[in-house]
This record gives sequence, C-alpha cells and structure tokens, in this order.
Amino acid sequence: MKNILLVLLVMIGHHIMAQNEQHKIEVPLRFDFYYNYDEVTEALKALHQAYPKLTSLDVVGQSEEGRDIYALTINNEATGKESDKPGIYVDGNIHGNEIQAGEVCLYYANMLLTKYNENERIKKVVDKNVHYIVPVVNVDGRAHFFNDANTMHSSRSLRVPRDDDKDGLLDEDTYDDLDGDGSICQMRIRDPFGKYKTDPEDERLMVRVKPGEKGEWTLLGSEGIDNDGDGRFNEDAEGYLDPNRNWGYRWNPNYIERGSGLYPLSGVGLKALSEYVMKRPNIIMAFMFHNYGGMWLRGPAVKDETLAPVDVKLYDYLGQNAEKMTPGYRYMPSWELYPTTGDYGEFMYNICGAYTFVGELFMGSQETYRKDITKPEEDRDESNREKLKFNDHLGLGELYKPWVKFNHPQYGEIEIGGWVKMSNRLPHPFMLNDLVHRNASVILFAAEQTPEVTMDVFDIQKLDGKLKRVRVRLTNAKGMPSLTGISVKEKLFPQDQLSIKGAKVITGGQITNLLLDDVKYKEYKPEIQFVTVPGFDKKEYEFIVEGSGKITIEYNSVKAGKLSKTIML
Amino acid sequence: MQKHVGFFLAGLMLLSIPIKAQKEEHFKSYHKTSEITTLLKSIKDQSNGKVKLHNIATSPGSNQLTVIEVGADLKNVPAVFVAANMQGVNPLSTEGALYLTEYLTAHKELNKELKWYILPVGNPDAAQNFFAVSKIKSPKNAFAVNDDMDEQTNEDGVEDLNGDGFITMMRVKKPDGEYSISKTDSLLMTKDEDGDGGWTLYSEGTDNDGDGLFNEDGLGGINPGINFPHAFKYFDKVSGLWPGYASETYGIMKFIYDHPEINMCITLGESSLLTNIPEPGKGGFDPEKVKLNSRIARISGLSPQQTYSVKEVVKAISDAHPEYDIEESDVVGMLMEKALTDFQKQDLSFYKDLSKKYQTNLKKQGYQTKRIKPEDPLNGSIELWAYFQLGVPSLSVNLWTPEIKSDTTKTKKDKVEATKKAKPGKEEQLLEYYKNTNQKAFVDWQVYNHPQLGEVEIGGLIPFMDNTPVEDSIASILAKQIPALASICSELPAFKFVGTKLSPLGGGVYRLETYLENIGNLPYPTYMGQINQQPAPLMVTLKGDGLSIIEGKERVRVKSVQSHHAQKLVWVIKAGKSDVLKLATSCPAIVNIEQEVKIEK
Repeated sequence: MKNILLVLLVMIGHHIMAQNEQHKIEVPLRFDFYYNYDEVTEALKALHQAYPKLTSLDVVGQSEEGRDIYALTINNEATGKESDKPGIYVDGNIHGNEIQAGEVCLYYANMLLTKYNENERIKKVVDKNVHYIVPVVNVDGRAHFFNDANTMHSSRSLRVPRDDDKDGLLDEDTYDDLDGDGSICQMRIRDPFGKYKTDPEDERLMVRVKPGEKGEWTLLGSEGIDNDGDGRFNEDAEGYLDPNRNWGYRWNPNYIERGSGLYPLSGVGLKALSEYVMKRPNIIMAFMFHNYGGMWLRGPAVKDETLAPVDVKLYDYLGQNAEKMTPGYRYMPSWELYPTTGDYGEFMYNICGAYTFVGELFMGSQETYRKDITKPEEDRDESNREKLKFNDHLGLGELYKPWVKFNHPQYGEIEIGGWVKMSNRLPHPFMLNDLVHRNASVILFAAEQTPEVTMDVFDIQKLDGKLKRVRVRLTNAKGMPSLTGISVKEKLFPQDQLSIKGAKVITGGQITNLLLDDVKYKEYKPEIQFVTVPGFDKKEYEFIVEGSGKITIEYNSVKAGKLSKTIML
Repeated sequence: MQKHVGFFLAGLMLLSIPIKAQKEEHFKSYHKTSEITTLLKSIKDQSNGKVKLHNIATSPGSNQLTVIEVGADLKNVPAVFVAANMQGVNPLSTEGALYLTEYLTAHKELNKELKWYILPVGNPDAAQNFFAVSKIKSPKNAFAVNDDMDEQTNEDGVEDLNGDGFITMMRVKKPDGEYSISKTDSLLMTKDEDGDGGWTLYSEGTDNDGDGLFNEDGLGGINPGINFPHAFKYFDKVSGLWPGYASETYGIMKFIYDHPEINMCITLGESSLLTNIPEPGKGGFDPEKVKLNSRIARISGLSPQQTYSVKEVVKAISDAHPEYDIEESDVVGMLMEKALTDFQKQDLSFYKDLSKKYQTNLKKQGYQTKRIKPEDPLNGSIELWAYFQLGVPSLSVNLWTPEIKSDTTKTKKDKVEATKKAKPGKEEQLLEYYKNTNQKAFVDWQVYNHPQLGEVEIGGLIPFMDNTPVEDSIASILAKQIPALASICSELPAFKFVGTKLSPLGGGVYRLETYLENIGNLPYPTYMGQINQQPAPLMVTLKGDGLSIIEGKERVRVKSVQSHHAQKLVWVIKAGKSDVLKLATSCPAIVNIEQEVKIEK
C-alpha cells in the first residue's frame, strides 16, 4: 500500500512539475508549450528588448490581485506616429482558462517582429499600421489556471468574489484537489441505480445505461467537498464575474446576464483596459481570442440588432477569407451561437467603432484518431472512445486520468478520474504551432485590409475672374472603409475631414457625378468637407476658391490617417 | 435575548416632537461649492466622530463628490443613501441634503440604529450653472463632448446676448417657423403642429463656428444623472457612451455597492416617486401567462409550448425537485430575457403606503401639496436604478415646485392632453403662480439685433424659476419637507423572533420552531430585490456547542419577509454539550437580532 502511495505521489509530483516547468524564453519565441503568466510577461519583455525601435511595452493597469496587464505596441515610428495609423487591436485570454488565446497574440507579435526584415507583407503592415497586443486580459485567471488545480473550465472569472449561492458567504465552496494531482477531475460512486455503466469497449469510459439495464455508476460532479455544509458541492467557487459580460455596451444586470457584475466595468483591470482603448480612437480592427468551438464571431450579439450593410459587407469579406485560412471554423453573427450582452466585442464595435472578430480557437473535432477526417464521428460514445485513443496515441496519455479510488469525507468510497485541466479546450502542444499560425494569418489578412487612403488633386481649372476650381479625389485601395458604418450612423467619431487652407473657399462639395459635373455643395463652411471613404472605392470633391499661390489640402481621419498636399494655383 | 430596534418607532414619534431649532442661518441662501465644503467640515468637526466625509469621485470639472456619513460611530446597522442634485439643476435639493444632515445630527433618534450616507451634490459641475454670471439650466458636466461631431469640441455654446444675466430664448420670424405666440399670454410660445406658426425658437447665442447651427456644441458634457445602467439610453451624447462612463456615476455606484448595508435610496431632485407613484406595468410580463424557456421547461417538466401562471411553474419545479427552495420571484428572474422596466405590482403597495404617510406628514406640517407636477423619473436615473438594480425601496422627492390652484393633470384623459401640450401647460401654471406672488419669472421679449439672424426677440422663462424658490423661503420649505421625509426611515424592515418553541422528541432529540417576523413597514427584500437577487441575503443561523442538526441547516436563507408577516423556520436537532441554542439573523442590511433558547433537559 505504502509503495503504491509513493508511486502515486511521484507521478503526481511529476505531473505538477511538467505543468509548472520553467521554460527558457528567447526571441524568436517557441510555440510548442504554454506560457504561464510570468512567462508571457517575460516573452513580451524579450520581444521589446529585441526590437526596441519597433515596440513599446505598456502596463495598461492592474488586476484585482495586483498583477500587471501588459500591452505590446508594434509601430514603426519612422513611418509615422501611431495615432496617425489605422490601429489593429489583438487580445486574448479574457477568460482565465482560455490560455492559448494568449499564445495567438504572442505568435502574432513574434511573427510581425521576427519577419519584419524578411517578408514584404509583414513589413508593409508593420509600417502602415499600429498593432496593440494584449495577450492576457484576465491576468489573475491565467496565473491561477496554471498555479492551481482547475477543471478545463474554471479560473475563468475575474477574482471578484460573489455570493453565487446566496448564503451570505463569498466563494466559500470551491473545488478541492482531493488527490493533489493539480487537476480538478470528476468524481463517481458505485451505484446499482446509477445512470452509467463502464463502457464495455474501454473500461476507462462510461456509457449511459439503456432502459432496463442495471446501472453501475452515479456521477458526482467535479472533484471537491461540500466546504460550507449546505448539502451542495463546489457551488460557490471563484467569482463569478465574467470579464466578457462586464463591458458597457448593452450591459444587463446579473439576473438577465449571468456574471455581468454589479455595474459596467466594475472589474478594475477591465476599467483600465477600457481607458486604454478609448485613448486610441485610431483602432479600426480588433481581434479577441477565446477557446471553444472554432468560430469567427462578429456582431450583433443579440437578435434584435442589425448592422449597417457597409459593415456586414466588410465582415463577410474578412470572415469568408478567414474560414478558408482556418478550416472548420464557422463565420457567423455571435447571437446565432447564443445571445450575449455586455461583452467586449460589442463594446469595441459599438463604442470604439472598430470592426471586431471574436476568434473561438479550439475544435474538439480536430483531435482525431481515424483515417478519414472529413466525416466526424457523430455518436457520442464512439466520439469519446476516439478522443481517448487520440489521448493514448497522440496526446501521450497526458490528457486523461484513469479512475482511482478515493475515500471522500462526505461520500465515502468514490473514484476520481477523467479529463484533466489541460485537455478538451486546449490543443495538445504539438498542435499549437498550427493553430497560432493560422489564426495570426487571419489577423495579418485583416490588417492588410485596413483603409489605405490616397489623395489626388486631379483637376485645377481657372474660372471667371479670380476664381479657380480644384477637384480632389480620395481613393481607398483596401476593403475597409475609413470609418466603420456604426461610427457614422451613431456619430461615434467625427467623419474624416477634407479641408483647404491658404485660399478663400467660395463653395465646395461632393461631386456626385463627375461625367455630368454634378456637385452637391455644402451650405456652410465649404472649406471643410466631412467624408467617409468606402472600401475599394473613391470619393471626389470640388472646391471653388478665390486666390492664387500655394494652397494646402488636408485629409484628416480618426482611423485612416492623415494626408496633406500643397499645390500652386 | 431580543435586541430592540429603536429607530423603528423613532420616526413616527418625531412628528409629535417639537422640531429642534435648525441652524436657520445656514439656509438663507443657496450654497456654492466652496460654502458646502466649509459647512460640511464644520458639521464634521463638531460631531465628535459621528460624522465622517467620503470623497467618492472627482468630476471632470475637478469638483469632489462628497458623501456625508451620519452615524459614523455605528457598526452593523442598515443605512439609507440620499443622493441630491444628480442632474445639477435643482439647487434646492442640495439644500435639502444639507438640511437633512443638520437635522439628523440634531435628532439622534434617527440615527441610533441607522446610518445615513448623504451626497448633497451628485453633479457638481452642472450645479455651478446656478451661480454663474449668466444663469443657465443645463445638466451637463464639464466632460468635453463633441456634440455636433465636427472638427472642434465645445466651440459653439450659448451667450447672454442682452446681458441680463440669464440664458433665455431667441425667437425669430420665419415663414416655416414651428412656433406661434400663445393665445393665453404673449410671453409664452406654443408649438404649432401644422408648422405654420411663423416663429422659430433658438437658445440665446450666436453661431460661433459658422456651421448654420446655434449653440449646438457648448461646454460639456454628460449628465451623470442619467448615466446609471437602468434603461440607459445608448448613442445619446448627454447620457454618456455607456452607463457609468461619467466618473460621478461610476463613483456613486462603487460607493453604494461597497456598502451592502444600504437598504433604502432617497433621491432629492426633479422627480417624485413619493407623490407620483409609478403605475403598474401594462405590458411585457404577465405573471398569469408565461411561456417557458427550454431551461425552465426542462427543470419543471412542463411544456415549452403552453403557457402557465408563475404559481403553477413554482409548484411544478417544487414537485419535481423538492431539494430546490424556489419562489415566484426566482421563476420570474429565470424567465426574463430583458431587464424589467415596470415597477412590480407587489411593491406598489408600499409605495402607496409611504406616499400616503409622507403627504399626510406634509399636510400636518402645513405644506401646500397642490403643486405643479414634478418631472417623471428619467431613464438612466439613480432613482430607477436603485429600485430596479439595487432592489431597495427607492424614493424620490421633489422638494418644491410652484403651487397651483388645482391639479389639472389628474385624470387619464387630462394626462394625455397635458402630455401633448406639456410645456405650455406647465409654463401657464408658472405664469399664473408668479403673477399671483408678484414675482418676475419671465423675461419680456425684447428686440435684439442679432449678428447672424438679424432682428430677433430675446425673452422667455428665467432659468430655475420652475424648480427653485426664492432664497427667503428655503428654510421654511425644508423645515416642513425634511421632517416629513426623514420619518420615512421608520418604515425600514426590522425583525424579531416570535413563537419560538422547543419540543422534545425523545432521546435528546428536539424540534425547534420559530417565526422570523418583520415588524417594519417594508418587505425585505422588495419583490424586485427578490427577482434580481441583489440585496444581501437574510440568513438565520442556529448554533449550539456540540449541537448536531438532524433536519435543517445551520445557515438558512429567509428569501422574503413581507412587512408584518413572519416566516416559519423549523429544525430537528440533537442537543450537544451546551443547554443553550443561539438563533441569530445575519444580514448587513438590517439590525441583526439574536435569541437564546434554553434546552430543558
């Protein structure tokens, strides 16, 4: 007995060591392991140190437990100020357990920096755009996910205690790592009336009993004890304040949206992050990574909202391309998955006026043990068996823990086993490189589609007397308009301004038909025209000016940069 | 041992006690920000530690939001939060909050077992407009907002063109003007539905930025008074970008949630839930006819295709899952897909009750209650938020509007008519009041040569004349209003154990039965509070040395106790070493009580 215990302890010790193994962090970064919170920080510092001219590293704010939330900015100052460039915002790990989302961010940063001098596509987006990268939003959640015993779903919340079971106590009945293996697995108890029996094909699994069959097991839920003696198990674990329901757009109280928190942005780290993004109105494209289902989700997040057609058009263009770069992912409005309110993506789109994709990374269907991967197994029991074979043959047996007897203080003799925390929502590290590269490639593609506006003075004509006609064309070579449809519709930002300085503007306006010389003149202040330049399109303006010599024509956009041209009249 | 709940009766007694002399000299004029700071400091310094000041936020205009804690020496007692002047346009509400502070320090019975948190100015930036050289009634704080979404911010505000110290209106003759001169009085303008009124109205000022619009982007701002998360209006510049965007609002919410002892919220300002009781909901949710979502259908075993009453659903869930302790409000909460916006019928009864008491109190004080109807609570306001999201009784009080001879907006039909002509109706009432009291409330329309519009006339209602009485009457109004309002605190829920009985069952096993009775006039929590589950749970604990509980739990949640009702609690226990059992309540929002039960062995 003693020997068995010793072997078990050694095994457990080894397992914990494997999880908390310290990795050497060097640039270029490796993506064959998961970075814990400290290692993410170290990796960001290493990238900044290696590329000081292209990066800056900021602390956005602190979490509830005082950890720093970092943002790495990638911008080539030599090609312009960051505020004058279309901003790409990328974050991950807002849910503490969804750790590979952080790796996608790190990979994207690593790719942009290490390939800057080697790859023309990369060089172009680094020079043209500014990239704001926040690999870990829920820093406490990530730290605890690595450091503590967890299920694959726990350590998701912000560390704001909540009385989930309404007994006047906070977070008093959380999971317990009864066998000390660093994972919260499942508990089962022998029960002839149970709804499950051992799977005849693999004794590690269970299958539901059919009507009339004798049961063998009752499932008791996740590993733990009834800490507060209320007859329930693990019902008041950490939080729950869902960091992706606590944002200000269409925030709802907890009885409508579970985990929304007491009021919008009550999470201190989230509040700091909201201030960080609000100070960067040039952000026009955002990616937020999560870890379940294989999806590219866009707004609206509720059924009763509709997006401006111009925004849907752009989303479709990006989303349909993204689907091809990440086979199996589905591009869709997020309410079709399920409606949500108070989420960050909707805040980013509706308040910050940025196109936003939520990337759901993990696909269980990719954990295959079969010849033909085009037809996923639909039978639940067969699918479980396949998953276990994947674990045995490709996951090196690290994803599943065989059932072991345990003397539970409240239930008596039970067994503990099942999928470990690093399974089911997280790809085995051998699959990580593929995942991060494909998803980072989608960000790159979207960055390339941010507005690229050029300005041409294509016609200067002398009219009667001192009057001259100046015609200006703004052309957008890329698919994304210079301002999102929602920004224009809801007046989130001023539209781009096309203005003339150095001469008196008698009148001016948009040319509605160049061939017919139709112009819609602006009644007041014709020297400033408000414009949004559509994607893959142009807009033309005419100014009738009085004067001669040098005049300056300026284009000034919140999200699409600034242009200036001086001409002689 | 039963603890006494002293404050319960104190308020009721107050009205019969001669009111102690208020420091009348403090209420001879409206207080400016710096004067409030001085007054609060002096109240605090003289309080022997019973008054504490909390700076809970800083406005964009660098003004502090200060909460006065009256009863700072008290621990483990419930509290009332009083928010005044949230929109910054109601100077009398600030005076009311200051008066209340002094009143409470002079009437210790009111804070014997009750704490008060009083915020005299919720919107200090806007509150300064009252004292400005050119008075303007605007709820905007100093946060820079580009209202017209042009290339500049705050570039086109109002101006006092005629230099009379007020920002009033300009009227200009225009063929397509929507306004005409009122037939009732030439001082008033009436909106003409047909659009052939001949006059256009502007606020007083010029088109500073030459964009053809007048005063469309003045200084500020956001109105923190409508920046709360209930029924918040998105994409509206004055509401803010999201609820809690204004530092004032965020600071207030944080403070309130950091103090779970707050069990009532009183708003002093424009609306009056105490005199204009909300009407029961007309649509949206019918508890007699609910359709189940898949989750509830699964739990209850009922069909998602049929409709049921909430009562039927509760019964079905209780039958299917005897282990669940479920109530009607739990089901309502589970069924909701959108936040409730109707005051719950179950709560309206206490609103009616409090309203009646408050108005009776006012009449006793000799306060004329026939007045111009106060504004309805605004979406995004603190008073609606406190009811719908905090789940506490939320009372709002408008301390003064001009008197009227009779309330013309009582019947439903009249109300519809009044809504149609809301402004003229109110202005006519104002005009009548000020004529009768020989005061000037309107600037006579005078011709003015406007640099852009040419000949215009400037005139109209003087800012604040509709909600701010002359300084001479501040003290006398508050001397009537504040005691009437303060007495409401006596209505807070309070508890005692009654009918406690210990019956031996043999072999050292006993059955313990008790009733937890709410002897206050308000439920705990409100029905809305039961639905949103926000108020702190009311727990009853049973303890005893070596005690083992055979049936029941050591900590039991009492889901709701209506006023003057009781909840029965039962345990089966096996006595331990001690022959004394201790029953106690545990809840930060009430005065907790204990009772010892002796086991006769």
